[in-house]
Amino acid sequence: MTAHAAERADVLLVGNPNSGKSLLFSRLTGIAQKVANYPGVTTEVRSGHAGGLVIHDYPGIYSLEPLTLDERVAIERLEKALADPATRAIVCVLDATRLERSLYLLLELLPRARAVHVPVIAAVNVIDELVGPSARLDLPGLSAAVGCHFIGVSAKTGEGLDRLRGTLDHLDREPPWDERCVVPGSIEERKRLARRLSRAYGPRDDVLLRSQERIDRVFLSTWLGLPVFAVVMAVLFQAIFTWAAPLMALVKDGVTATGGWVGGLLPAGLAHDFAQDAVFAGIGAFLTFVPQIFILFLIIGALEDSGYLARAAVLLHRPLGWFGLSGRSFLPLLSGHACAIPAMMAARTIESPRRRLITVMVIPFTSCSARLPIYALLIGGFIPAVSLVHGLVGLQGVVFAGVYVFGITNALLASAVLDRLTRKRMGGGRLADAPFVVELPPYRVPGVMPIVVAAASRSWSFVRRAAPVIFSVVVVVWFLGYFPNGKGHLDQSWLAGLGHWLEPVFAPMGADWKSGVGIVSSFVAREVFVGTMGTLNGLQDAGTQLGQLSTQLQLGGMGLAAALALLFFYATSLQCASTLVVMRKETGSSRAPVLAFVSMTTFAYVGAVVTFHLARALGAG
Amino acid sequence: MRNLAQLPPGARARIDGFGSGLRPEVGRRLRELGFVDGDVVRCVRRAPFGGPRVYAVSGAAFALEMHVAAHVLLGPADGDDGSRG
Repeated sequence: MTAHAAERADVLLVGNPNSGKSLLFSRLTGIAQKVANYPGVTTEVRSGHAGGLVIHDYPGIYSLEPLTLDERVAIERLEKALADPATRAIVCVLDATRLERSLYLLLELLPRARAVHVPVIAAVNVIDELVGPSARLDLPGLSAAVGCHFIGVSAKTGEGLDRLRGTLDHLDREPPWDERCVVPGSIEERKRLARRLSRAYGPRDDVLLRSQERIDRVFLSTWLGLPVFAVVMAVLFQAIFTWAAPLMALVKDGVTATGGWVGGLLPAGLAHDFAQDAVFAGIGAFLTFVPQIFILFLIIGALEDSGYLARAAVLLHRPLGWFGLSGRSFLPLLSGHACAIPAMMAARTIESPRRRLITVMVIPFTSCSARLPIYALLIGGFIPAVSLVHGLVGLQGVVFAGVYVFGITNALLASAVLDRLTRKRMGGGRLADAPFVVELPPYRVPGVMPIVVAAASRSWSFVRRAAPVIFSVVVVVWFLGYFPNGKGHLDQSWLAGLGHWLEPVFAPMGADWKSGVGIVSSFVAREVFVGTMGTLNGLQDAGTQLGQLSTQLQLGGMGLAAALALLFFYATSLQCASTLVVMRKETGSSRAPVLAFVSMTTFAYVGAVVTFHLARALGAG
Repeated sequence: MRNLAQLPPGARARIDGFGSGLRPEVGRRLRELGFVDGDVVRCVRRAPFGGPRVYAVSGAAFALEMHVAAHVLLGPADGDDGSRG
């Protein structure tokens, strides 16, 4: 280690997927974390401080030879970090209950680390689960045999963490490499050494594997597997809508109160109008649905940490395969209900390039949370609040659920079409696709704090990315609506001029010039629709006054048929500039985003026109 | 020659090489995960709809698509040799 690299001291946290690495990371670094890149379950590198050290949590890997794109990204970053003089140590996280498999990665890592003189510390995690007569873990024996420091820890109970911290604080005291410990070069030899070590020094029986198989008898069973999955999904969506409500109300009230306070400080005029109508109305409409994104990240985190996500992928692999997708497409499609951007990043875990491309292209069909305020506005304002089945469900709720099912159905049908189109071109046949190989991790009760912290940092990272775009659009719309004649003269504004000019385009779907402006402005980001409509209808804070806004829309002449047409349009069109940019980056060419944009928007427009005329013909106003 | 896809749930067998149709990097990954020549593998269960099957090898469980499993070749029938698989 050279002396001049003293300013920064990095520690790399490396380990197999499901080794409890992220939990250990949370334990070591506390709540102040930074997510590099877009948030998402498996694709991010998180960094945090522990004492004088910066700890980097790398995505879980099985070896240093990548198979999927996310592994390639992770391994490339890891190799770069290894060569960085600021890297002081590697903590390789092992799972005490799966020692043999964990040791393999350590044995592969050791020679690389030795080559650059970086010490490796093996943190043997989940020692709290080693109980009973077969429990055994001979750490000194392992240290002597492998030639690096082995420390037993439990990220869950906190056991052994002080020793790990102490070791990291005094890395200069790490003994030099024991040259007698030679790590073999071939996979087979490394695998055999891992087995020998695990048998000589590790637990004597696979208690966990047996108990996990018992639970799998239910979760992966032919008859119970799908009903259990349906219940899990029902709870998830219920949570997104009901648990998020109080948080959303809190955010709303907070933004409204702050807006009112700031507005009171400013003298009447341009600055006041700008702060009130552009800044706070725009931010408010966006921030109110962040709680839903947070809860979705929360539940996905819990599902992943519990081990159920891998089962869901196995369960759905075949059914999704009928549409040209993979079991691993499940997580991206689920995440798409929060935001398409992290969802497209999550698709990197899909082994087959073709299935990955298809997944990325159909994700925008899933109803992301940016559409939610629009659905809430249109369904709450135009669908009658009548109850069905003797009051068990409401019509509005049924329509809400229907829009989500509609989105998933569209995604699956589009996948089937893309599957047909790409089969020949991309070398077709199922054998040419990279195969589906998924580890079934042990079932574990997820820890609350780490999931909350991870969900919060992921949500924050999302807000930081999306907010500037949305804010800019709101400001432009406000500007065009404010000038040349100032507040209260919207009908003479530049925005109205633009709207009237565009009216013939949107008239066939029953939309007036205001809705037309709303639609056009939401091609940058659809979440601006509600804010724009609020501005156009003279409401200061539309995000918090959906009921009032829908009344205004009805007074303005919008009927059920036009509302349904708008609903169809927003459920199917691709109106998000960030999605297009990320899709281009993820697929490596402009063809996928252009195709997705043109086909989805055309489908949305034609569908909206048909919906409008059909609804009218059936008697809707 | 038998392959892994033909192994019924509950049965064990010893791995005896890979079929030539498997891409080298996939074969490599399978070996890294523990599907190594001479090792004992156990078929744990099948997923619904003829989906992936679950195999236990080197102390962990993995789900493999049938057409991948078909490329993992098996030696003669093998009872329980006391090996953890």
